[in-house]
Amino acid sequence: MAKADMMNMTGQGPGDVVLEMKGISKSFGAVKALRGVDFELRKGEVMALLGENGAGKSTLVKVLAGLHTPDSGETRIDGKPFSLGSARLSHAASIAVAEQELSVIGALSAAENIFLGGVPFRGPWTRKRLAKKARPYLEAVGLHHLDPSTRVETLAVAERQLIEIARLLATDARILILDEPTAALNDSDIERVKAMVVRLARAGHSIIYVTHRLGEVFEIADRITTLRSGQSSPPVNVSDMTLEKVIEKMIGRPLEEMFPHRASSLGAIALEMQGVTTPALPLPQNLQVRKGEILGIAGQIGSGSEALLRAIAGADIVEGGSIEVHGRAFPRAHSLPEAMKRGVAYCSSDRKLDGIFAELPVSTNIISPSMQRVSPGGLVNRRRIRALTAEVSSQMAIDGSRAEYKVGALSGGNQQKVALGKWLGIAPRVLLVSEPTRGVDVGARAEIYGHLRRLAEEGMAIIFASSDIDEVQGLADRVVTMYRGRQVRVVDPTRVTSHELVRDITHPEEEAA
Amino acid sequence: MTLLKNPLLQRVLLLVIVYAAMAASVTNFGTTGNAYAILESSAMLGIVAAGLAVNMMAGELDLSVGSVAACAGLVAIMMSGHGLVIAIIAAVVPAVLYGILQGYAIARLQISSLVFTLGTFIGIRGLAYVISDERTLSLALSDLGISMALRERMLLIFSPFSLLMIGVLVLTGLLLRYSRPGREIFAIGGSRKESRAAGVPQTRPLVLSFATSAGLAALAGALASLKGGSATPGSYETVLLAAVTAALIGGVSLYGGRGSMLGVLIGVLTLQVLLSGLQLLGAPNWAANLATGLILLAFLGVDLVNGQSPVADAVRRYSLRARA
Amino acid sequence: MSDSAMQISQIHPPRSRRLLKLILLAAAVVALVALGGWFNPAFLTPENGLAILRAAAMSGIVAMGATFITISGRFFSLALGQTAMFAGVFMAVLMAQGLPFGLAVAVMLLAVVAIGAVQGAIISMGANPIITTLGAGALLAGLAGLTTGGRNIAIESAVVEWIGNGRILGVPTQTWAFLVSVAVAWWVINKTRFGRETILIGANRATAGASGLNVSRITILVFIIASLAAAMMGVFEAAQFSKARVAGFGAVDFDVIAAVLIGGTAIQGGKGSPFRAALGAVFIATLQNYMLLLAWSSGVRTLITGAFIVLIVAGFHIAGRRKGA
Repeated sequence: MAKADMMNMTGQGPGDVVLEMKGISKSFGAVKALRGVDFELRKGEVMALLGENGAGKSTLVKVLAGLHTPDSGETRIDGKPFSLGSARLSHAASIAVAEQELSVIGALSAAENIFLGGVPFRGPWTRKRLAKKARPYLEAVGLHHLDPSTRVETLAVAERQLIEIARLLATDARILILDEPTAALNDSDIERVKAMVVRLARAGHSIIYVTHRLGEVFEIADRITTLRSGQSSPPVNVSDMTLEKVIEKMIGRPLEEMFPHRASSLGAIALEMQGVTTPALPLPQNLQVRKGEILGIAGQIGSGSEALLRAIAGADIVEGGSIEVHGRAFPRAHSLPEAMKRGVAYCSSDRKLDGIFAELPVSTNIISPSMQRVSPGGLVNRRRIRALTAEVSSQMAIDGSRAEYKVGALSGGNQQKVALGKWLGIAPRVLLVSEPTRGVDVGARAEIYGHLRRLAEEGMAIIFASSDIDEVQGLADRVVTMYRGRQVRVVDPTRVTSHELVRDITHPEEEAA
Repeated sequence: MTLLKNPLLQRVLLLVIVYAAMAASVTNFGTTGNAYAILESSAMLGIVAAGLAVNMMAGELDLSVGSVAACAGLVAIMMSGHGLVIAIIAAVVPAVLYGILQGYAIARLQISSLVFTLGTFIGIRGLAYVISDERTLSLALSDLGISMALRERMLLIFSPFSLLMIGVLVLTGLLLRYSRPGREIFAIGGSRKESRAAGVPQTRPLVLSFATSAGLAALAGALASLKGGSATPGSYETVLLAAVTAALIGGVSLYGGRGSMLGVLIGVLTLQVLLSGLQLLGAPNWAANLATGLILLAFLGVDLVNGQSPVADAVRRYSLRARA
Repeated sequence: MSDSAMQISQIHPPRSRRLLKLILLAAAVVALVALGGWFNPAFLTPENGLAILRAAAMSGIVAMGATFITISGRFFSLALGQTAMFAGVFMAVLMAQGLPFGLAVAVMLLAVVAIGAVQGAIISMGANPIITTLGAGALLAGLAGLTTGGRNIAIESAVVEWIGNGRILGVPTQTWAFLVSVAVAWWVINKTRFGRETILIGANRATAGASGLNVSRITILVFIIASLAAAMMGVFEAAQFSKARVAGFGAVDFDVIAAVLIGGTAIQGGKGSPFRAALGAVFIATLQNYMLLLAWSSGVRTLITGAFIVLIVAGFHIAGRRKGA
């Protein structure tokens, strides 16, 4: 039910300003994450913080949490100046954060996790006492059946996310920040979290709610602050906004201009997958992609979309079924280098983890999958390195003068271009990309879509997995929706609404059951 | 059968098997006299291993424990004229201070403990040579009573030293499990990044873990030297290897966040039973080295095959292909 | 969808800047020597200089091999001292059995390669390199004791005598070996595919694997190289007195690691140069030589060496962080 209705029931509304930030800027090397951001929060309100990937939301959250010190700007809490700069200070100011990257500690139990975040727990930490005090918080997030002494590493991502929120509750902080709290949750959990947020606001807590799910915003938020490319616009009341207006504020241009045209003609079958199973995908998977086609696999985190790509790439062990690229079959249980040899390139969703060498220069990154090509006879050939670097840089529009820059110092968009571009060196027939524009700002997103389309037109078959329905619908020639390891259906994105796609990947009826 | 899946029980079983095997093949192994000897020789290692294990649980490794034990032994002998208690305090207190400093430096600099303690390992060893003037120090005849007192046989197989070891293990174990600082140590050990994001203080548990490894190493060194009646600056060079091996046998993980003092006790006893058996069989010195090295590698191997290592992956791929 | 902003300095240091840092390091060594000579003229004699180089050469040779381990991101090996001892001892035993020098060395090298490969294999499977090499070192010490019965073995061979004490153009053989190994190590790291791949797996092992590199193979090779370097040093050591000792290699590991660290090679891997480790070895040898001339006891010398390691490593660490973060 809409927030406005909920509020009407109690007759209470948000009060005075508790938090005020003016002119906050933060840069990381070349990346200007925040540029003079203004932000305010009132007591008892839910302020939604929106923005595209790379707009600066997470940086702002980390600044408030004390994990980053702003380069400039001033902050006031309850009217009194406050210097952001350490986790301890933020903690003392009664600011608590449930981060997007989960920070639960695997080796410890759920109860221990709840109380280790600085919440006082006097006396011996025995199992019984911990469990007793933890139970109310676990119940508040819907984990009634969970034994508080369970080791967190044995729990699923959704449960870990809920424990992270439970820890937040235990701090009883005045200012609560939730960064994508529902990313890994199913619909019934999401409802519970939303109800909890509203309850907390009514009880006087001030909440900053960061989310990608615009529907949630209209249901629980009072006001919206939008960030775009590190800059903020003044907060607006939710009651004054519509979905289209919100989207426009976020991306600054109509949705249609983001994506290139679709494929006009397709070639022969480039990849064929039949009956493939892996430890992560117990149900047999079939798939087909043609030359020149961009296939989009839509699915939430954990739906199997990334696992599908990993299977083809050889990153996971294929236990059953067959895979053929350009008619040639893969050996059983093929490895990643074997897939590469047969023309398959895989770009994972987390480039910080395994997509780039952050401390090494752009040129070294670009040649890394092509070591054989640039070192004939085992000796490094500088000319070949320069040639390959120049070729890839020009193809991906990477500034050539930056060839010696550390990749980690580049903007998210440029990093992703390096992460993708390096695969061009092996002339792949099939390019697999998971979350192609994660952590990439708006301008670069459109550019990357353009590059992918161009590569397809030059004969490559591209499969990408994404949890962003707009991206899947805008870029792909064909869409496969996935839910819990099962392919739901294959559709033409131009003939289906985004609502239908969302239903495919979230299965609300099944969740409610 | 599911009971056997419990790793701690597996290790107890291993200890029992090893003991039984030794008792069967070596004469006089199963006597109470030998049990006393084993416990006696375990005492020093047990206390050092306890401290080092706490450090490992925090995700660090204090390479300087052997050097600290040597210094402590020398100090204890030098101060033995003032009595047992003073000697021990004089040896342990500076070590704890050193541990606090070391932990603080490592925490604040955010430097790898391997690198830092490498430097202190060398430096403190040098210190040992300096304070002893490169000589062996011995207990004065008038103080030999201390040495005897520490060896006194109690309850058939124990001595004050080995009882103290058990006491240290129990106390440390309780503190690790039931106190906030103990839980913090586990938190920063297993998941350093996550614990920082979660708001767990980073400096306090690190400092505590290094103070513990140094303090307990000093306690062990002091007591062992007093018991033996003498101390040399070059002593306890092998204690690091033995302590790490014992901790690994006992289930303390090198990656932090895992392990228990009970496991350490079992690990120490297992190692000592093996070494004692070798000694009784008349094996030369280098055999102990060989044995310890082999055991260490064996336990590393077992750990690997069980886990998520690349070797498990490779094995599965191979078997899938072989079946085709 | 997090902001992947990173706090690091922008440009990968261009060749000129890296060279500058190396020159600064060399200058520091020269300054130390000059200062030492100022206070104590005996320090500056050519015999003393050669003595320093010879001392540096021994740990320097091993440091060349150890650098590969550090650059590949596997920290360091604590088995190199015992590998050196085992190499000398095994060769001596084989020769005492009647094998000619060449054959004895060949067999010994085979054994060393095998033991290095095993360590590399275990570590590439995910084992902690410090602990693995700690255990392997103990194993090697045990094997050395096993094959010799705990006694030192004399070597009777003119070839070995020359290796240990010969001079080419007035410079001791060990020093030549050191210089050659520095050049070879530098060439491998910078000019070969294997060397560049070693840097990649040190920079980010996960990315390297995802880019198709054979991380296991490179890890194994890296440990083989380090073991071979240690073996070479062991042969030189035994050759110097025509006697293979079964003890006394304890300090080697730490001198070697100190050389690598003081030279400034980052412990987390992904960058570094054999030159730095070589200079580090020279620096330590210079320091120790100077302290010897001052007639400081071995305890004090060890203490100071340890203190230096702590200070310099901490200093590099802070400097590195301030520049970037």
